[in-house]
Amino acid sequence: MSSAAMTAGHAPAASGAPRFSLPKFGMLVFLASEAMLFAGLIGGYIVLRLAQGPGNWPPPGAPDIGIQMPPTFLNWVMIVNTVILLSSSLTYHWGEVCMRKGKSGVLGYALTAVFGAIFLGVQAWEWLHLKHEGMWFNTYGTYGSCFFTMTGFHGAHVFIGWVAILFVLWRAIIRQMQIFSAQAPAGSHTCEELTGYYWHFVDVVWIFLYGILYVV
Amino acid sequence: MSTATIPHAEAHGHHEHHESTGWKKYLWSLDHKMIGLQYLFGSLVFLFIGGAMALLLRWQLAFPSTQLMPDGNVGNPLSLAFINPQFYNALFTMHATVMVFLVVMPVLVGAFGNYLIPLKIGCGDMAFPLINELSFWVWLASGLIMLAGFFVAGGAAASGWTSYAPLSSVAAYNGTKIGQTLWAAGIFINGLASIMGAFNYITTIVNMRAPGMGFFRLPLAVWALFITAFLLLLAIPVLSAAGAMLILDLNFGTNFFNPAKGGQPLLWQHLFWFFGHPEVYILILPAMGMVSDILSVNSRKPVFGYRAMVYAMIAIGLLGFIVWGHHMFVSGMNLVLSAAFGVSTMVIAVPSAIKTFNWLGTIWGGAIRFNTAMLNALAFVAMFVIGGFSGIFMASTPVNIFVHHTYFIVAHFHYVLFGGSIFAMFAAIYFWYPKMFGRLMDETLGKIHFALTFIFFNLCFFPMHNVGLGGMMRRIADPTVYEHLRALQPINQFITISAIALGFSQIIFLYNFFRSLRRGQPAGQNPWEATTLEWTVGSPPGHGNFAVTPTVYRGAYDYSVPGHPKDFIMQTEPPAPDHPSDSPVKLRPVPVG
Amino acid sequence: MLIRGRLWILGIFAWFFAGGALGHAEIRESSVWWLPRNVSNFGHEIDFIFYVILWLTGVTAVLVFGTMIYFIVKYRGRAGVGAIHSHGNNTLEVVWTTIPVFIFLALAIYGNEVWTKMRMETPPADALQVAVVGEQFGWNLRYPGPDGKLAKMDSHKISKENPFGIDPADPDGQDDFTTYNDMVVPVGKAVRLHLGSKDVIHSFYVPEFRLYQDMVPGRVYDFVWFKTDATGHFQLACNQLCGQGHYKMFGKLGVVTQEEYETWAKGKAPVATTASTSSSPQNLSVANR
Ligand code: HEA
Ligand code: HEA
Ligand code: CUA
Ligand SMILES: [Cu+2]
Repeated sequence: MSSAAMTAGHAPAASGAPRFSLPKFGMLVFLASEAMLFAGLIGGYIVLRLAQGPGNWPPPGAPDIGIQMPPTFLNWVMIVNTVILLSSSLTYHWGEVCMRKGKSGVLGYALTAVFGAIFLGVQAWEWLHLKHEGMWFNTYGTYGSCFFTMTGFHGAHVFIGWVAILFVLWRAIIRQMQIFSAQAPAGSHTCEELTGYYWHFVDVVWIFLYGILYVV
Repeated sequence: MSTATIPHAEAHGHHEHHESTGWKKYLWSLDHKMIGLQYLFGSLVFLFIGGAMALLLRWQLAFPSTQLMPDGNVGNPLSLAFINPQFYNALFTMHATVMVFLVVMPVLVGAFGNYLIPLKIGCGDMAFPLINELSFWVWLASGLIMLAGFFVAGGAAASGWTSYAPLSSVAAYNGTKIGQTLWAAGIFINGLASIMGAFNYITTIVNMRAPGMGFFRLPLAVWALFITAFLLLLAIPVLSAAGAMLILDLNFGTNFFNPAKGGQPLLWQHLFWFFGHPEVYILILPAMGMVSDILSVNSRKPVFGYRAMVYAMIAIGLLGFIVWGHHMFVSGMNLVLSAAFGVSTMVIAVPSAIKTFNWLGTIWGGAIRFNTAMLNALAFVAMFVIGGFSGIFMASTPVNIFVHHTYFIVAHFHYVLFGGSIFAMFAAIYFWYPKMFGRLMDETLGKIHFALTFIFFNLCFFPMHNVGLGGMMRRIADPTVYEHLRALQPINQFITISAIALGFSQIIFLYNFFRSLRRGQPAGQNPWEATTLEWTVGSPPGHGNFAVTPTVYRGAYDYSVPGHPKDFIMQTEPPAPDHPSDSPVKLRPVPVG
Repeated sequence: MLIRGRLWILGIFAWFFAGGALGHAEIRESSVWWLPRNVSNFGHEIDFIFYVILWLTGVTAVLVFGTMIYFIVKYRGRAGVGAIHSHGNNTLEVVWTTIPVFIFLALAIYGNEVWTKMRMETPPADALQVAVVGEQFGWNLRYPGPDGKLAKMDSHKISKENPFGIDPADPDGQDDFTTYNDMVVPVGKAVRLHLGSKDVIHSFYVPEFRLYQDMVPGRVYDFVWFKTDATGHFQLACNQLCGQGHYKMFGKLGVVTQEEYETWAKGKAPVATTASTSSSPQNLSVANR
């Protein structure tokens, strides 16, 4: 039988459309899993840090990435970088709002892509800078291990999200074209919404990481 | 990954995948049924590989290879020289890894989860068919990666399936840097597959139940898989994190588990067991669910205390996250923790008790049909109870001091894992085989297989309690180097002989399985006269399962309802006017979101 | 298959005779199928709880399996006899929920009592202090000399050269003596252990003492102690997988009279005169295999 005929059957559509489309629901559930991944890493970090006892974190000699008074240059860089990542969530949201209004949202998505790129670039710069300072995965005991592993895991997630955003941007550009050529922009918004969930999630995770790695 | 389903992501448009044909049907089908079968066949192969490893290590225990014995002790002429201690350690490590991650999880969750969920809740396919198929190939890859360890320098991982650091995290200590890395990588990738499956199941069960299929009309098998999916979703990522740390420690000099550099060996144990205990319930919950259904069908009775069963499983799922410390009583944890874990571990036995009693309640007053599926299901209950009892011993901290890491433990988890999960697996295969392949498996061969398996299983694993109490440690390549264990050697040899018999009894099963594909007698739509939705469609069901979406009018267990001509009423049968009481849960539209 | 066939016969053969050949080791004349004899103070309580649980589960097992078999026989499907229709019974559910709750809670609390008692009870002041440090694959032991004092152990100082992590200048340490894979304790005297590890996790396990303690590298466990109530020769086994030599990481463990102990101790040269480390004969690092 043609599965098109089937579709009527599968979905609860028969009894009123669900609040979430399936992909969105699935994404939210999947993000719960992602959250546990970072929970595991953060839990490990807390254990290892407490084990060092007060005063030994960062261990003597290690470059202190924690917030100083007055903030160091590195501090400022990471503060700005954090602000950039968070604002990228806003720009993304703006893109979505425009899109729902029937516009293409290309500007918002473009800004998001740029901010994401900046964040990753600065992150890479910070890594190299610290490596230059002699701090790496295998130095300063668990201090280096934790920092690079956690920021690395997060960075990888940002990168995946960023690639998705490029895809979103591409779709937005096409929509913009359609608008220029006076057609109604076609296609669903699911792709944008899923990427949005993921991107906002990654930002929230960063707030936690920034908190425990740089502030507390 | 969900972006994969974008091109047609309208509310349910992503179902519009067409029946794939030719080789594609077997390699890249998006049909949940084919994916289920892929998992089934894949893990049956692994069952034999894992089993073969078990038989090898059993052989070594009975007739230890003497080459590395101190005191030039002349061993047994039967011993196999190639099983040196390092290889022995690799054997039980990989035996466990294969059995847990490549046999029980994929059979119970992967195969039956995929095959049964859409059929039992009345929809055409999983929510994300593409991710579903992807998860199978990712799973298979993880298996090959882990086994590849045997062919690399240093051999396969040899630090136990629990891979305690720092043995596992320092190459100089374990001598299997590559193998251990492959193991950790395999675990990580295996986790990806599980997570893909998990959120797929959850999405499907929550959103795609047929009209009228309220949560409390779901068959217990579906409930069990639903809860299991949550355990997978929340427990696996923690193992993945630990696995990543392990790989980094092994290869990139990080210090997570390295005490010399401020690392914490116990951190590994906490992360592993935080996953590890929910994992063991992941291995048993689907078994419990499917056995409940099989008991009910073959007793021609509703499941006794359906809701109690559901709540018990939920309780197991929740409590499962706060008992992990019972694996670490002897690691020197502080008294507050040990007390907390001791109590929670005892408490988690309660829901299992509830389930056991309800299973008894289910067969009480029934008209029991003793087909092979039923026999295996009954064996499941009995064996699980025995395994549970030994669990109670270990849960008592003082006793744990004595039995920890002895064969008493080995007996415990084989009773719950083989006696539990594997017997349930056999029960499920005998029971749903006709649905999967349209033919019945041979009952005579099935009963012979059951009898042999049941007898030799007990002969093999029950004495392990005794050698354990006798003080025999697990994970030792050669018990005879210990004076106080030599007297136990005859028992060890007896166990090994039983194990070999147990192993070869499985060949009957294989023969029956493949023979019946062609020769088995046609099953028809509903050979067991069961009520649930999968039995309302042909065997095997066509692509898309249901020609018209079924509407569900009653719970999953309307057996022997008084005043009805037949002793079972399909879930799709509307309530008869003269029997308003038919439908315990009143018909309501599917709750959404 | 033919080979298999022969192996089978040989196997059964060996099963009858190999045991006889290996059977007469000095320990374990008896109770091959059961707990080995217990010679330590805490062992009695542990065994007691064990038997409590054994009875409890035993009785339950009889009830559960009795009922099961009864039902299986009584309610086997017979022509014309249908099943009764029942969805369950809430009172029953409540009953068989609450009863186990109490049983299990009682077990947990009782067990925890004993456990805390064993952990909290401090060893008598005159306890013999023995340092035990595991390594791949053997046991370093350190005994106090005439002054009865052990050198202070510091887990962070533990290293290949300095297995006990002591300060060589420590005055208490000068008269200590060390042994390898050879532990001797006087009967009836409290023995307090200071457990540590050089490399991976090992564990101190003596079934006849009902004693098991993991030795996680990076810390020293000093709360484990025992008092023996009978002499004999036992084996000190490592019961935590620690590498390819794990299976044979064991040491002699003799429980002897006070006099025998003293003569044994006299025979040992104090560390001050020997090298402070005792590097092992069978310490084969995995690398060179
Ligand atoms: C399917 C898998 C499975 C299941 C279901 C269980 C179930 C239980 N397990 Fe098990 N366990 C494992 C798999 C499993 N376990 C594995 C693989 C290991 C070893 C890991 C390793 O080290 O390699 C392990 C190890 C393990 C340990 C650690 C032992 C050690 O290393 O020192 C402990 C300790 O508490 C424990 C306890 C329990 C308990 C209390 C239950 C309970 O859930 C059991 C509850 C069930 C019952 C009690 C029976 C039915 C109840 C009744 C009939 C009611 C009446 C009963 C009474 C009044 C007694 N298990
Ligand atoms: C579901 C899980 C599962 C299953 C089914 C099994 C099945 C078996 N296990 Fe399992 N075992 C574990 C999980 C499991 N095990 C775990 C988690 C551990 C802990 C590991 C660790 O300590 O880290 C363990 C450890 C373990 C040990 C302890 C090793 C040690 O500590 O030194 C032993 C020893 O007897 C053992 C024996 C067996 C035997 C005899 C079987 C038998 O049931 C197997 C019967 C055989 C088959 C079912 C297959 C049939 C095979 C053939 C017919 C041979 C022909 C082969 C080919 C054709 C290729 N296992
Ligand atoms: Cu040391 Cu095992
Ligand atoms: Cu557990």
